[in-house]
Amino acid sequence: MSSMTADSEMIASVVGGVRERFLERLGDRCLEIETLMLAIDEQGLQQRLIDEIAGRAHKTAGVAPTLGFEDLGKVALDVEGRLSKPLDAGGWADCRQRIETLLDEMELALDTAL
Amino acid sequence: MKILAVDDDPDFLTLFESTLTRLGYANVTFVTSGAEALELLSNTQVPFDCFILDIQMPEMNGIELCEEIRAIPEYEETPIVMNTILADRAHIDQAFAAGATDYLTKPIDEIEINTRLGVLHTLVRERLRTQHAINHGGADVFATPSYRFADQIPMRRVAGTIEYLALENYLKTLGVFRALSTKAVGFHVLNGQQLFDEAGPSIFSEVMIDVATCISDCLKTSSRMISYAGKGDFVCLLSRVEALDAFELGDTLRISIAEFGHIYDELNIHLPMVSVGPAVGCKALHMAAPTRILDEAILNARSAARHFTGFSQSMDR
Repeated sequence: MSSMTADSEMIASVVGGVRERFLERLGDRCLEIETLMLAIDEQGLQQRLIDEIAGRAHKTAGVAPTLGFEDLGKVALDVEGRLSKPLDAGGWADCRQRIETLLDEMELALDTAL
Repeated sequence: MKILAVDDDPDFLTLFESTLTRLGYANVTFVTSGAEALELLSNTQVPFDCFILDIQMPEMNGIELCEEIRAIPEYEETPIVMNTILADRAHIDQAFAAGATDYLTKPIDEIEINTRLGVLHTLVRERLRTQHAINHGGADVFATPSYRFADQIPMRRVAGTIEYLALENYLKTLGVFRALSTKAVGFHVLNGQQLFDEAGPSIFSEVMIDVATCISDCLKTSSRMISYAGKGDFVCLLSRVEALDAFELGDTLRISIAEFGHIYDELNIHLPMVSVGPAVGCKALHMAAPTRILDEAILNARSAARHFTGFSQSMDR
């Protein structure tokens, strides 16, 4: 076996393992974000809730493209960027829509993988 | 090169480890929090040569961790690379101000990592060689850090200063809009070579730190980034909208430096005579190589030195 083949197999094995774990967490992450959005709807725009959603978007954006989910990575990056700026009620409405898109992308990634 | 990588995302760390191993960086330690990193540093016998820190981490973020690491004397000059996704743009300024040397973007880009770590690896090797020379060169000769005239002396203890390499890296991180809203101002110590020759490297480095302190004090803006480029040259990055009169700044600076007069008298050395050049704004032609504005700002300061009338009087002291 050439060293290049061995390298490729090693990479595929590492990426495969991380991808599996990432997808396992993605389902939970989806539900967590939905819960956080409901909390904002009920309790109003609280920074700690926004930070929680931004943190989940951040983690998704950091690895999704490397695992083959480029669109998911882009949307997650966009959501994190929007949430890192000060938000008013109008800004939240736009942001909420984008988070819905992120949830759609997460579900699509899960559907594709399963 | 012994690297410490800190990131709270285990998925990212696994992928990052795989990439670094493939690129030949086998001596890497991974931890998942700032607290864990600091704990490790306090118990490590062989120091780390380079740090790679995620910016967004819970409890202690990467910028706070960067400040903590810089506060450890052993790691005052160790390269610190911030690892971030593009949405962290707003944090990059803070990271450089906290002492970061460079930054990497997430998701993982193998070519980018290889290029940026390659530069730092060369820097680390050079420093290790210097350290080796110090350790084997005799205690009298190398009792204090020894700099050549052209060397970039660390200015860590002066507010608003960053390493020259970090300043160059910072400029490269700016997008078109932010680059176009930045300007560089150069400062040149006219009698730098003379000061170096008559006072020696150790006192010369202290004099340059005094000059940096005065520059920092004279530029009241909090967003300033000042760096020492070696050879008596300083350069400062400012926002383009800030009004700055080079002649006025030069006068203020010279008054500020004159306050050190009695100390220099005791040391029997001349006062550093500093010229200030007109600011250089980043233009479209600089976009391919934005660090050119640093070179141009320094050239402007050197040109301004030719018209500096106070120089000859100082030399006669």
